[in-house]
Amino acid sequence: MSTYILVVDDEPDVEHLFRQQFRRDIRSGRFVMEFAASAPQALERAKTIADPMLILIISDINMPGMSGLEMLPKVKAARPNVPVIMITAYGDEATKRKAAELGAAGLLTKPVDFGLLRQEIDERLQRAA
Amino acid sequence: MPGGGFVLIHSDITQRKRAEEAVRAARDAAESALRELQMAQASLVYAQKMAALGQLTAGIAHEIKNPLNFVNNFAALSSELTDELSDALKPVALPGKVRDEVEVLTDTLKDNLGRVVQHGRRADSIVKNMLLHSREGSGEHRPADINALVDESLNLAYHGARAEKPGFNITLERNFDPEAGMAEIYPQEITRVFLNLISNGFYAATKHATEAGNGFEPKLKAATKSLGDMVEIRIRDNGTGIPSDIREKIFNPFFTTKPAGEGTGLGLSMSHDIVVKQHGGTIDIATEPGAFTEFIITLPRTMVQPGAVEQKN
Repeated sequence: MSTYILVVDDEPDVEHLFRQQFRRDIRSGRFVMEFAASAPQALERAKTIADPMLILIISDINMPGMSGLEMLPKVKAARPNVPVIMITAYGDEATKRKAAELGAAGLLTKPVDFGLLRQEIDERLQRAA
Repeated sequence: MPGGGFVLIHSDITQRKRAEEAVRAARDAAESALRELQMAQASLVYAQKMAALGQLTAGIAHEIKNPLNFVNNFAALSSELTDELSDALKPVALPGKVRDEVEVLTDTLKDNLGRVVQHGRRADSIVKNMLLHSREGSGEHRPADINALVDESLNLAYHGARAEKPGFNITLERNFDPEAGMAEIYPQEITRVFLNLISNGFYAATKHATEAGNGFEPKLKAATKSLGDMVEIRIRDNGTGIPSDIREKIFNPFFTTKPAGEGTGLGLSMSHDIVVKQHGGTIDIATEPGAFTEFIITLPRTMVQPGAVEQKN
Protein backbone atom coordinates (compact mmCIF):
# COMPACT_ATOMS: atom_id res chain seq x y z
CA MET A 1 0.00 0.00 0.00
CA SER A 2 1.39 3.39 -0.96
CA THR A 3 1.07 6.72 0.77
CA TYR A 4 0.01 9.55 -1.51
CA ILE A 5 0.76 13.24 -1.52
CA LEU A 6 -1.19 15.30 -4.03
CA VAL A 7 0.33 18.52 -5.32
CA VAL A 8 -1.91 21.07 -7.07
CA ASP A 9 -0.39 23.86 -9.17
CA ASP A 10 -1.06 25.23 -12.64
CA GLU A 11 2.66 25.70 -13.35
CA PRO A 12 4.11 22.51 -14.92
CA ASP A 13 7.61 23.19 -13.54
CA VAL A 14 6.24 22.57 -10.05
CA GLU A 15 6.17 18.86 -10.83
CA HIS A 16 9.87 18.87 -11.79
CA LEU A 17 10.77 20.87 -8.71
CA PHE A 18 8.88 18.60 -6.29
CA ARG A 19 10.00 15.35 -7.95
CA GLN A 20 13.64 16.46 -7.72
CA GLN A 21 13.34 17.81 -4.17
CA PHE A 22 11.78 14.61 -2.87
CA ARG A 23 13.67 12.28 -5.25
CA ARG A 24 15.08 10.13 -2.41
CA ASP A 25 11.73 9.71 -0.68
CA ILE A 26 10.05 8.85 -3.97
CA ARG A 27 12.83 6.42 -4.95
CA SER A 28 12.69 4.68 -1.56
CA GLY A 29 8.89 4.45 -1.79
CA ARG A 30 8.23 6.53 1.33
CA PHE A 31 5.40 8.15 -0.58
CA VAL A 32 4.00 8.63 -4.06
CA MET A 33 3.58 12.12 -5.44
CA GLU A 34 0.65 12.89 -7.67
CA PHE A 35 0.28 16.14 -9.58
CA ALA A 36 -2.81 18.02 -10.69
CA ALA A 37 -2.68 21.11 -12.91
CA SER A 38 -6.00 22.58 -11.79
CA ALA A 39 -8.38 22.58 -8.82
CA PRO A 40 -11.14 20.52 -10.56
CA GLN A 41 -8.54 17.94 -11.63
CA ALA A 42 -7.28 17.80 -8.04
CA LEU A 43 -10.82 17.24 -6.72
CA GLU A 44 -11.21 14.28 -9.10
CA ARG A 45 -7.91 12.76 -7.95
CA ALA A 46 -8.72 13.37 -4.29
CA LYS A 47 -11.97 11.43 -4.68
CA THR A 48 -10.36 8.44 -6.45
CA ILE A 49 -7.39 7.77 -4.15
CA ALA A 50 -8.65 5.37 -1.46
CA ASP A 51 -9.13 6.72 2.01
CA PRO A 52 -6.23 6.05 4.36
CA MET A 53 -3.67 6.37 1.58
CA LEU A 54 -3.96 10.06 0.77
CA ILE A 55 -2.18 11.81 3.66
CA LEU A 56 -1.66 15.31 2.35
CA ILE A 57 -2.69 17.80 -0.32
CA ILE A 58 -0.38 20.70 -1.13
CA SER A 59 -2.06 23.37 -3.23
CA ASP A 60 -1.24 26.66 -4.86
CA ILE A 61 -3.83 29.41 -4.23
CA ASN A 62 -3.67 31.58 -7.33
CA MET A 63 -4.78 29.38 -10.23
CA PRO A 64 -6.91 30.20 -13.27
CA GLY A 65 -10.52 28.99 -12.98
CA MET A 66 -11.09 27.61 -9.50
CA SER A 67 -8.59 29.05 -7.02
CA GLY A 68 -6.99 27.01 -4.27
CA LEU A 69 -9.13 28.78 -1.67
CA GLU A 70 -12.32 27.96 -3.60
CA MET A 71 -11.22 24.35 -3.85
CA LEU A 72 -10.48 24.09 -0.12
CA PRO A 73 -14.06 23.71 1.24
CA LYS A 74 -14.89 21.27 -1.60
CA VAL A 75 -11.91 19.07 -0.76
CA LYS A 76 -12.74 19.31 2.93
CA ALA A 77 -16.32 18.20 2.19
CA ALA A 78 -15.18 15.24 0.08
CA ARG A 79 -12.20 14.23 2.23
CA PRO A 80 -12.61 15.77 5.72
CA ASN A 81 -9.60 13.90 7.14
CA VAL A 82 -7.03 14.93 4.56
CA PRO A 83 -4.97 17.97 5.62
CA VAL A 84 -4.45 20.63 2.97
CA ILE A 85 -1.41 22.92 3.01
CA MET A 86 -1.71 26.04 0.89
CA ILE A 87 1.22 27.59 -0.97
CA THR A 88 1.04 31.19 -2.07
CA ALA A 89 3.00 34.27 -3.05
CA TYR A 90 0.43 36.28 -1.09
CA GLY A 91 1.56 35.65 2.48
CA ASP A 92 -0.37 38.59 3.96
CA GLU A 93 -2.53 38.42 7.08
CA ALA A 94 -5.83 38.44 5.17
CA THR A 95 -4.85 35.43 3.06
CA LYS A 96 -3.53 33.58 6.14
CA ARG A 97 -6.77 34.22 8.00
CA LYS A 98 -8.92 33.18 5.08
CA ALA A 99 -6.97 29.95 4.53
CA ALA A 100 -7.25 29.08 8.23
CA GLU A 101 -11.00 29.85 8.28
CA LEU A 102 -11.54 27.59 5.30
CA GLY A 103 -9.76 24.75 7.09
CA ALA A 104 -6.22 24.78 5.69
CA ALA A 105 -3.69 22.86 7.79
CA GLY A 106 -0.96 25.37 6.98
CA LEU A 107 0.16 28.12 4.66
CA LEU A 108 3.61 28.35 3.09
CA THR A 109 4.82 31.34 1.12
CA LYS A 110 6.86 31.43 -2.07
CA PRO A 111 9.77 31.00 -2.52
CA VAL A 112 8.89 27.65 -0.91
CA ASP A 113 11.10 26.66 2.02
CA PHE A 114 11.47 22.94 1.34
CA GLY A 115 13.01 22.38 4.76
CA LEU A 116 9.73 23.50 6.33
CA LEU A 117 7.64 21.54 3.87
CA ARG A 118 9.68 18.41 4.58
CA GLN A 119 9.00 18.82 8.33
CA GLU A 120 5.28 19.11 7.66
CA ILE A 121 5.34 15.99 5.49
CA ASP A 122 7.38 14.04 8.05
CA GLU A 123 4.83 14.91 10.73
CA ARG A 124 1.93 13.70 8.57
CA LEU A 125 3.81 10.51 7.73
CA GLN A 126 4.40 9.79 11.42
CA ARG A 127 0.79 10.43 12.25
CA ALA A 128 -0.35 8.16 9.41
CA ALA A 129 2.01 5.34 10.40
CA MET B 1 -24.73 123.16 11.77
CA PRO B 2 -21.38 122.74 10.11
CA GLY B 3 -20.09 120.55 12.94
CA GLY B 4 -23.11 118.19 12.66
CA GLY B 5 -22.67 117.97 8.89
CA PHE B 6 -19.07 116.99 9.46
CA VAL B 7 -20.12 114.32 11.85
CA LEU B 8 -22.64 112.98 9.34
CA ILE B 9 -20.04 112.74 6.55
CA HIS B 10 -17.57 111.18 8.94
CA SER B 11 -20.00 108.45 9.87
CA ASP B 12 -20.76 107.84 6.19
CA ILE B 13 -17.05 107.19 5.46
CA THR B 14 -16.79 104.91 8.47
CA GLN B 15 -19.64 102.84 7.16
CA ARG B 16 -18.11 102.61 3.72
CA LYS B 17 -14.76 101.78 5.23
CA ARG B 18 -16.35 99.07 7.31
CA ALA B 19 -18.04 97.71 4.23
CA GLU B 20 -14.77 97.76 2.33
CA GLU B 21 -13.02 96.02 5.18
CA ALA B 22 -15.76 93.43 5.29
CA VAL B 23 -15.33 92.86 1.55
CA ARG B 24 -11.56 92.63 1.94
CA ALA B 25 -11.92 90.21 4.85
CA ALA B 26 -14.36 88.12 2.86
CA ARG B 27 -11.96 88.10 -0.08
CA ASP B 28 -9.03 87.09 2.15
CA ALA B 29 -11.12 84.35 3.70
CA ALA B 30 -12.16 83.13 0.25
CA GLU B 31 -8.56 83.19 -0.96
CA SER B 32 -7.25 81.30 2.04
CA ALA B 33 -10.11 78.81 1.73
CA LEU B 34 -9.16 78.35 -1.91
CA ARG B 35 -5.50 77.83 -0.99
CA GLU B 36 -6.47 75.26 1.63
CA LEU B 37 -8.71 73.56 -0.87
CA GLN B 38 -5.94 73.48 -3.46
CA MET B 39 -3.55 72.05 -0.89
CA ALA B 40 -6.08 69.44 0.18
CA GLN B 41 -6.65 68.56 -3.45
CA ALA B 42 -2.92 68.27 -4.10
CA SER B 43 -2.42 66.01 -1.10
CA LEU B 44 -5.45 63.95 -2.12
CA VAL B 45 -4.04 63.51 -5.62
CA TYR B 46 -0.70 62.57 -4.04
CA ALA B 47 -2.36 60.07 -1.70
CA GLN B 48 -4.22 58.53 -4.63
CA LYS B 49 -1.03 58.31 -6.66
CA MET B 50 0.76 56.66 -3.75
CA ALA B 51 -2.09 54.20 -3.22
CA ALA B 52 -2.03 53.29 -6.92
CA LEU B 53 1.74 52.97 -6.81
CA GLY B 54 1.49 50.81 -3.70
CA GLN B 55 -0.98 48.48 -5.40
CA LEU B 56 1.14 48.29 -8.51
CA THR B 57 4.28 47.52 -6.49
CA ALA B 58 2.49 44.86 -4.49
CA GLY B 59 1.17 43.29 -7.68
CA ILE B 60 4.58 43.25 -9.35
CA ALA B 61 6.29 41.97 -6.21
CA HIS B 62 3.86 39.06 -5.96
CA GLU B 63 4.19 38.14 -9.59
CA ILE B 64 7.98 38.16 -9.34
CA LYS B 65 7.82 35.77 -6.39
CA ASN B 66 6.53 32.93 -8.56
CA PRO B 67 9.45 32.76 -11.02
CA LEU B 68 11.83 33.53 -8.16
CA ASN B 69 10.53 30.44 -6.37
CA PHE B 70 11.72 28.33 -9.29
CA VAL B 71 15.04 30.13 -9.74
CA ASN B 72 16.04 29.83 -6.08
CA ASN B 73 14.82 26.30 -5.52
CA PHE B 74 16.11 24.81 -8.78
CA ALA B 75 19.51 26.42 -8.22
CA ALA B 76 19.81 25.06 -4.66
CA LEU B 77 18.65 21.68 -5.89
CA SER B 78 21.13 21.60 -8.78
CA SER B 79 23.92 22.35 -6.35
CA GLU B 80 22.89 19.24 -4.35
CA LEU B 81 22.71 17.22 -7.57
CA THR B 82 26.24 18.31 -8.47
CA ASP B 83 27.42 16.87 -5.14
CA GLU B 84 25.60 13.66 -5.92
CA LEU B 85 27.25 13.54 -9.33
CA SER B 86 30.67 13.85 -7.70
CA ASP B 87 29.77 11.08 -5.26
CA ALA B 88 28.54 8.86 -8.08
CA LEU B 89 31.80 9.36 -9.97
CA LYS B 90 34.01 8.56 -6.97
CA PRO B 91 34.11 4.76 -7.37
CA VAL B 92 34.59 5.02 -11.14
CA ALA B 93 38.13 4.49 -12.46
CA LEU B 94 39.04 7.56 -14.51
CA PRO B 95 42.37 8.65 -15.98
CA GLY B 96 43.96 11.24 -13.65
CA LYS B 97 43.64 14.05 -16.17
CA VAL B 98 39.94 13.40 -16.77
CA ARG B 99 39.26 13.22 -13.03
CA ASP B 100 40.98 16.59 -12.51
CA GLU B 101 38.95 18.16 -15.27
CA VAL B 102 35.71 16.73 -13.90
CA GLU B 103 36.57 18.11 -10.47
CA VAL B 104 37.31 21.59 -11.79
CA LEU B 105 34.09 21.58 -13.80
CA THR B 106 31.86 20.39 -10.93
CA ASP B 107 33.48 22.92 -8.58
CA THR B 108 32.82 25.75 -11.02
CA LEU B 109 29.27 24.54 -11.52
CA LYS B 110 28.69 24.51 -7.76
CA ASP B 111 30.17 28.01 -7.41
CA ASN B 112 27.93 29.33 -10.16
CA LEU B 113 24.85 27.76 -8.63
CA GLY B 114 25.82 29.26 -5.29
CA ARG B 115 25.91 32.64 -6.99
CA VAL B 116 22.51 32.09 -8.55
CA VAL B 117 21.10 31.26 -5.10
CA GLN B 118 22.79 34.29 -3.57
CA HIS B 119 21.46 36.72 -6.17
CA GLY B 120 18.08 35.05 -6.06
CA ARG B 121 17.97 35.72 -2.32
CA ARG B 122 18.92 39.30 -3.01
CA ALA B 123 16.03 39.65 -5.42
CA ASP B 124 13.77 38.03 -2.84
CA SER B 125 14.79 40.54 -0.19
CA ILE B 126 14.12 43.43 -2.60
CA VAL B 127 10.68 42.01 -3.28
CA LYS B 128 10.05 41.62 0.45
CA ASN B 129 10.97 45.26 1.02
CA MET B 130 8.66 46.34 -1.77
CA LEU B 131 5.85 44.40 -0.14
CA LEU B 132 6.58 45.91 3.27
CA HIS B 133 6.35 49.30 1.68
CA SER B 134 2.91 48.68 0.28
CA ARG B 135 1.70 46.76 3.29
CA GLU B 136 -1.21 47.43 5.55
CA GLY B 137 -0.36 47.88 9.23
CA SER B 138 1.54 44.99 10.75
CA GLY B 139 2.60 43.91 14.21
CA GLU B 140 1.17 45.45 17.34
CA HIS B 141 1.99 48.54 19.33
CA ARG B 142 3.21 48.29 22.88
CA PRO B 143 5.42 50.24 25.28
CA ALA B 144 9.07 49.67 24.34
CA ASP B 145 12.41 50.66 25.84
CA ILE B 146 13.89 53.10 23.32
CA ASN B 147 17.54 52.73 24.40
CA ALA B 148 17.30 48.93 24.20
CA LEU B 149 15.71 49.16 20.77
CA VAL B 150 18.39 51.50 19.40
CA ASP B 151 21.14 49.33 20.91
CA GLU B 152 19.66 46.17 19.41
CA SER B 153 19.33 47.84 16.01
CA LEU B 154 22.98 48.96 16.12
CA ASN B 155 24.14 45.40 16.82
CA LEU B 156 21.85 43.92 14.19
CA ALA B 157 22.93 46.39 11.52
CA TYR B 158 26.62 45.99 12.41
CA HIS B 159 26.60 42.20 12.26
CA GLY B 160 24.41 42.27 9.17
CA ALA B 161 26.91 44.54 7.42
CA ARG B 162 29.84 42.33 8.47
CA ALA B 163 28.06 39.23 7.24
CA GLU B 164 27.50 40.92 3.91
CA LYS B 165 31.01 42.38 3.57
CA PRO B 166 33.60 40.49 5.63
CA GLY B 167 36.08 43.41 5.66
CA PHE B 168 33.50 45.91 6.93
CA ASN B 169 34.32 47.94 10.02
CA ILE B 170 33.14 51.15 11.66
CA THR B 171 33.45 52.84 15.04
CA LEU B 172 30.13 52.85 16.87
CA GLU B 173 29.37 55.45 19.52
CA ARG B 174 26.42 55.26 21.87
CA ASN B 175 25.21 58.27 23.76
CA PHE B 176 22.07 57.11 25.51
CA ASP B 177 20.04 59.26 27.87
CA PRO B 178 19.04 57.06 30.86
CA GLU B 179 15.83 59.12 30.97
CA ALA B 180 14.89 58.13 27.38
CA GLY B 181 12.68 55.44 28.89
CA MET B 182 9.62 53.91 27.27
CA ALA B 183 7.45 54.94 24.34
CA GLU B 184 4.31 53.34 23.01
CA ILE B 185 5.26 52.28 19.49
CA TYR B 186 5.14 49.51 16.90
CA PRO B 187 8.55 48.08 17.83
CA GLN B 188 8.96 46.03 14.64
CA GLU B 189 8.34 49.05 12.45
CA ILE B 190 10.52 51.41 14.46
CA THR B 191 13.33 48.83 14.44
CA ARG B 192 12.97 48.78 10.66
CA VAL B 193 13.44 52.57 10.63
CA PHE B 194 16.53 52.38 12.87
CA LEU B 195 18.07 49.58 10.83
CA ASN B 196 17.48 51.57 7.72
CA LEU B 197 19.03 54.79 8.98
CA ILE B 198 21.97 52.95 10.53
CA SER B 199 22.76 50.95 7.40
CA ASN B 200 22.46 54.13 5.31
CA GLY B 201 24.93 55.71 7.74
CA PHE B 202 27.29 52.74 7.40
CA TYR B 203 27.08 53.06 3.65
CA ALA B 204 27.80 56.80 3.61
CA ALA B 205 30.66 56.60 6.13
CA THR B 206 32.26 53.67 4.30
CA LYS B 207 31.93 55.51 0.99
CA HIS B 208 33.57 58.57 2.53
CA ALA B 209 36.39 56.38 3.89
CA THR B 210 36.98 54.85 0.45
CA GLU B 211 37.09 58.28 -1.17
CA ALA B 212 39.22 59.91 1.53
CA GLY B 213 41.70 57.04 1.62
CA ASN B 214 44.01 56.16 4.51
CA GLY B 215 43.57 57.67 7.93
CA PHE B 216 39.84 58.33 7.69
CA GLU B 217 37.94 56.55 10.40
CA PRO B 218 34.28 55.84 9.54
CA LYS B 219 32.03 56.53 12.54
CA LEU B 220 28.40 56.21 13.42
CA LYS B 221 26.86 57.71 16.51
CA ALA B 222 23.48 56.90 17.99
CA ALA B 223 22.07 59.18 20.67
CA THR B 224 18.80 59.32 22.58
CA LYS B 225 17.29 62.11 24.66
CA SER B 226 14.14 62.51 26.68
CA LEU B 227 12.04 65.52 25.69
CA GLY B 228 9.35 64.97 28.32
CA ASP B 229 6.33 63.59 26.49
CA MET B 230 8.49 62.96 23.43
CA VAL B 231 11.71 61.05 22.94
CA GLU B 232 14.43 61.99 20.48
CA ILE B 233 16.73 59.62 18.60
CA ARG B 234 19.69 60.83 16.55
CA ILE B 235 21.66 58.71 14.08
CA ARG B 236 24.77 60.51 12.86
CA ASP B 237 27.46 59.37 10.46
CA ASN B 238 30.64 61.10 9.30
CA GLY B 239 29.91 60.13 5.71
CA THR B 240 29.59 61.91 2.42
CA GLY B 241 26.60 64.04 3.42
CA ILE B 242 23.57 64.85 1.28
CA PRO B 243 23.93 67.53 -1.43
CA SER B 244 21.34 70.29 -1.07
CA ASP B 245 19.79 69.68 -4.51
CA ILE B 246 18.61 66.19 -3.55
CA ARG B 247 17.70 66.85 0.08
CA GLU B 248 14.07 67.40 -0.91
CA LYS B 249 13.85 64.11 -2.75
CA ILE B 250 15.37 61.64 -0.33
CA PHE B 251 12.03 60.70 1.21
CA ASN B 252 10.44 60.05 -2.20
CA PRO B 253 9.69 56.42 -3.00
CA PHE B 254 12.22 54.84 -5.38
CA PHE B 255 14.66 57.71 -5.01
CA THR B 256 18.15 56.31 -4.48
CA THR B 257 21.71 57.47 -4.96
CA LYS B 258 23.11 53.98 -4.65
CA PRO B 259 24.33 52.07 -7.73
CA ALA B 260 21.85 49.75 -9.43
CA GLY B 261 21.17 46.65 -7.35
CA GLU B 262 22.33 48.17 -4.05
CA GLY B 263 19.29 50.16 -3.02
CA THR B 264 15.58 49.98 -3.68
CA GLY B 265 14.95 53.65 -2.93
CA LEU B 266 12.27 52.60 -0.48
CA GLY B 267 14.13 52.73 2.83
CA LEU B 268 13.79 56.40 3.67
CA SER B 269 10.31 56.82 2.23
CA MET B 270 9.19 53.84 4.31
CA SER B 271 10.96 55.26 7.38
CA HIS B 272 9.22 58.58 6.87
CA ASP B 273 5.82 56.91 6.60
CA ILE B 274 6.42 54.84 9.72
CA VAL B 275 7.63 57.73 11.88
CA VAL B 276 5.30 60.46 10.65
CA LYS B 277 2.13 58.74 9.47
CA GLN B 278 2.08 55.72 11.75
CA HIS B 279 3.53 57.20 14.95
CA GLY B 280 2.74 60.91 14.61
CA GLY B 281 6.43 61.75 15.11
CA THR B 282 8.90 63.79 13.07
CA ILE B 283 12.00 62.99 11.06
CA ASP B 284 14.50 65.73 10.20
CA ILE B 285 17.91 65.85 8.57
CA ALA B 286 20.97 67.89 9.39
CA THR B 287 23.77 67.40 6.89
CA GLU B 288 26.89 68.93 5.47
CA PRO B 289 28.25 67.49 2.23
CA GLY B 290 31.64 65.88 2.85
CA ALA B 291 31.22 66.03 6.63
CA PHE B 292 28.20 64.35 8.17
CA THR B 293 24.54 63.41 8.00
CA GLU B 294 22.31 63.30 11.04
CA PHE B 295 18.77 61.99 11.14
CA ILE B 296 16.74 63.33 14.03
CA ILE B 297 13.63 61.42 14.97
CA THR B 298 11.14 62.41 17.61
CA LEU B 299 8.49 60.01 18.78
CA PRO B 300 5.57 60.81 21.06
CA ARG B 301 5.51 58.60 24.14
CA THR B 302 1.86 57.80 23.65
CA MET B 303 0.22 57.01 20.33
CA VAL B 304 -1.75 59.97 19.00
CA GLN B 305 -3.84 58.09 16.46
CA PRO B 306 -3.86 54.41 17.27
CA GLY B 307 -6.17 53.88 14.27
CA ALA B 308 -3.87 55.56 11.77
CA VAL B 309 -2.05 52.35 11.06
CA GLU B 310 -5.10 50.73 9.49
CA GLN B 311 -5.11 53.24 6.66
CA LYS B 312 -3.25 52.23 3.56
CA ASN B 313 -0.94 54.99 2.50
